[in-house]
Amino acid sequence: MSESHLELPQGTLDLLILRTLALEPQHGWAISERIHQISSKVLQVQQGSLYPALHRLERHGWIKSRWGASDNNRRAKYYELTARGRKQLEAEKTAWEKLTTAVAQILETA
Amino acid sequence: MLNDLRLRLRSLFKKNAVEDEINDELRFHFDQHVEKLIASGMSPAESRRRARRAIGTDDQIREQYRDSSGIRFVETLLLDVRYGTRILLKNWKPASIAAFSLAVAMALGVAGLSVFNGIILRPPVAAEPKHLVSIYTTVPASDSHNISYPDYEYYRDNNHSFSGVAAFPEQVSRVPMTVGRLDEAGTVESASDNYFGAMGIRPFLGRFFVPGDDEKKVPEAVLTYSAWKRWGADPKIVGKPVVFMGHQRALTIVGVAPENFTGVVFGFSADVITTLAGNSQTFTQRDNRWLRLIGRLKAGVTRESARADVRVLSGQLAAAYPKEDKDRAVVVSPATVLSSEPDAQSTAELISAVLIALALMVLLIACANVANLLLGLATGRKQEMLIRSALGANRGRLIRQLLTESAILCAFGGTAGFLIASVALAQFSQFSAVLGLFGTFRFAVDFRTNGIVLLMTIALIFIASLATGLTPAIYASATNVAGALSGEAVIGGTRKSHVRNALVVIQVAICTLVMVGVGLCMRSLQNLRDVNLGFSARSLTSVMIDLQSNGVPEAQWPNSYRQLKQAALQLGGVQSCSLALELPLIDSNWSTDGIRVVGASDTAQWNQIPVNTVDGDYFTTLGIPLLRGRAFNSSDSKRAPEVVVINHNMAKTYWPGADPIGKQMHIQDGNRVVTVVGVVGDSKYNALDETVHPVIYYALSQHYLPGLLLTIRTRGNPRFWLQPLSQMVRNHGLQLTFLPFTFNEVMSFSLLIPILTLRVVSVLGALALMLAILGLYGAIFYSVNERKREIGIRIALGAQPSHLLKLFLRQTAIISGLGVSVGLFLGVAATILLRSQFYRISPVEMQVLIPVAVAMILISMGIAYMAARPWIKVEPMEAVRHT
Repeated sequence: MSESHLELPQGTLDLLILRTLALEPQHGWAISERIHQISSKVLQVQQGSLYPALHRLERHGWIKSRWGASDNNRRAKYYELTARGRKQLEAEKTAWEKLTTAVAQILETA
Repeated sequence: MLNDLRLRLRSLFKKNAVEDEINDELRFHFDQHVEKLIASGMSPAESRRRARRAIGTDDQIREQYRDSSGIRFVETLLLDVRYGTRILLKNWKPASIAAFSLAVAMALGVAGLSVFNGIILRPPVAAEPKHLVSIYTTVPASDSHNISYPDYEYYRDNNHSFSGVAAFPEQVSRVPMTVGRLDEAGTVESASDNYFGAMGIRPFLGRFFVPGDDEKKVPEAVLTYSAWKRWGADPKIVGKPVVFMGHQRALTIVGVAPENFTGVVFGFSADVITTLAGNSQTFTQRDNRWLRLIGRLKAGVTRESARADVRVLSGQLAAAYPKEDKDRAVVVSPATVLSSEPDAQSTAELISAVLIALALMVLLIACANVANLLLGLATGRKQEMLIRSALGANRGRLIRQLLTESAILCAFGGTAGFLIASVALAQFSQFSAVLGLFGTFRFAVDFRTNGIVLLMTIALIFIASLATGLTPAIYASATNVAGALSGEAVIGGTRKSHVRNALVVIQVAICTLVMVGVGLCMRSLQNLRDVNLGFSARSLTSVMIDLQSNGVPEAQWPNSYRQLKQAALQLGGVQSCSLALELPLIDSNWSTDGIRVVGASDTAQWNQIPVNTVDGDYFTTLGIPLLRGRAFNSSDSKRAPEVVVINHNMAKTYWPGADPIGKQMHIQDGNRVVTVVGVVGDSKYNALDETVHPVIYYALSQHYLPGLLLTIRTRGNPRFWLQPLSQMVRNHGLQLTFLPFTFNEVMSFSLLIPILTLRVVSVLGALALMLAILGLYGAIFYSVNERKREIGIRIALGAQPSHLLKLFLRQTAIISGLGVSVGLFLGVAATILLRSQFYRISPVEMQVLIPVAVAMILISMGIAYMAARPWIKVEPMEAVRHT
């Protein structure tokens, strides 16, 4: 199964993770699956990018982690959004929308 | 941010737990992936393979995690420390030399800092010492800074700036006394009744003095803690008496001072403090100056306003009592442990500064040693450095690693040095010394290391690490990958040998400088010893006779003195005997009288001349030559006209070119007129290094005094007459306040400080020399070591070993010659700076500089020979193969 991987800039992955966690707390695997599904299988987040990003977000205090039991009763680390994380999500969403609008305008007119 | 810190600390300290968590998380992810693939129809084995491929290297994840978690720095530091320790242990020979040099030098540095701390930084034992000030007077003409009792009362009662002004004499006496059943000689000091109140100390037992105690008939006593302990630690000692033998006085002990109070006068460990009662005759003598004042500033009062206040008061005193108090400026300065004359403070600062400078110089030598050794080690690790750099370490990383190694050495040396110094200094905090004449005094100076010294030591270690490690680190990390990996050796000198040579020059220069210091001390001491005394000091023994405190009535004095003198002459082997108020070199200040030559105009100033009162045999007993006229004789009685004898310098000054015999002078005190009957040779009066000045001798038979020194000239070792003299005095029913002494003891007492200084500086010099020799040996050894290949090739090509030896010796000669020159130059600079502290030293003291230079060069040559010889002798094939 060869998929063309789109290279996600670092900031964007953070935004996606935060957005995914806004719905409910999830573990790393679920986050990567969710992103894969919702993006119509376009975005596949590699482990090598996902976990460092998760740990970084945790250090910033935007998400917090706790160990729990998964659906099939395995030990898994669940992440959930904090209040500060929610604010950060809003801020990044606004920034992203501004950026994409600006880029789209240029592509249309030029 | 706190979150961040918490997570970082957790990664640092619970490393294993965190690693396990990462593993668990990644394993879970893997398992889920495998499950998903199996559910989509793949075989388990295939699923596993796929999932594994998808993971990539989870090591990379871990690395990234670790990198991003930013605890890299601390982790690598710990790694560096472990690795560095291994390297140092592997090269344990040079490492132990380095550590040893550092330990010695650091011990010295710590000792210097502790002395500085003990003398300068430590405040006096009191509550809130910052609010204490010293008050003393300065008079242009005289050295005495003391204040009289009436003046003290005036300052005490009329000031607006102090909550208390206390007074004490800067005096320590050894008095034989009885406490309970113990017969001892105790160290006695005294202080005014409000002293302890002003100092703000609380008693350990009983109470302290209260205002009003000075007016009592008999003084009261306070014991110091050390005395109380030594004398049996009697918990019921309050109220018991202590009897002073010489004066037959019983004082009541009212209390015991706390442990940290060692006395009123700096440095001495006192036993008994008494009130000023008993000196009541001085309470009305405005011109009898014997007290120092200490005051506690009121809350909110600054030293400046206190100064102004005291100045106003002294102005009032000068106006009211022009005879006694004119021209006396009053100084108010912060009270330090040396709450005495201003000279003591600056001398102490000077001594500390010099000590610290010397210690730091020795430390520098040690650091240069260590730097050289590390440089030597760095050669052998060139390849290691290159491999590291090839693997991705940047230069900063390499330097950090090498600095860590030097830091380990310095930390080790520094800790060892600190411990050594602490132990040594702890021995010193309480020691007694026999001050020849006066008996055994106990000194209490707190030189022990404490927190402040520890902090300074840590700073020193830090600086030393940089000093020793930076140069080798910079050198070693400059890598030339291709060249070194291919094993090219370096022929001849390189940049590295320049660095090494520079270090050797520094070592030799500093060592030379310290040696010059030792030489100066020796020379100064020798000059003092060779001083022409002007009298013959060799076979003199003296004893102090105090008729007044023995209760002999004044009318009896002439008779008593005569009897004593006759008894002394009858002791076997006594050539002559004399009675005098002062003897040379014992008192640093003789009292003065104002004189005016008869015939000079009446508006001429009164000149203050030091005076001594002596009998007719004084000059013959001491061996002072009589130049003109006569000494005192039996015709000079109380009823006869008053006569004086003057010294040569006075004759020259006041009657130049004329014969002073028969000339007359006015004496200010009592408005008398005296006639000069004799001129004697000049001699030393107060100190060995004084300049000659006029002196007047009064006749004892015209001025009998309550206490005199009886001196005999003996045939043979003067020590044999100590016992007979004591016995003789006791046979006359008199108590001895001071034991008899010989003049040799007086001489050694005068030379005490120069001798002590010489000893200390010599120890430092020996250490400096030892370290420099070690350093030089190491440097040359490594230098020759490096050039093994070159030597082997040269020998194989036919060079004579002795030729090569000469080559090395010549190179060493140039380097050490340069070092010695720099050292001599610095030595001359130091001489000029410190000239005032030595006796008769010229700025360029050839007798010191030349021997030092010659010695240093010879030593360097010797070391070079010893270090280079083994390598020169080696077989060429051996040398070449050794690489």
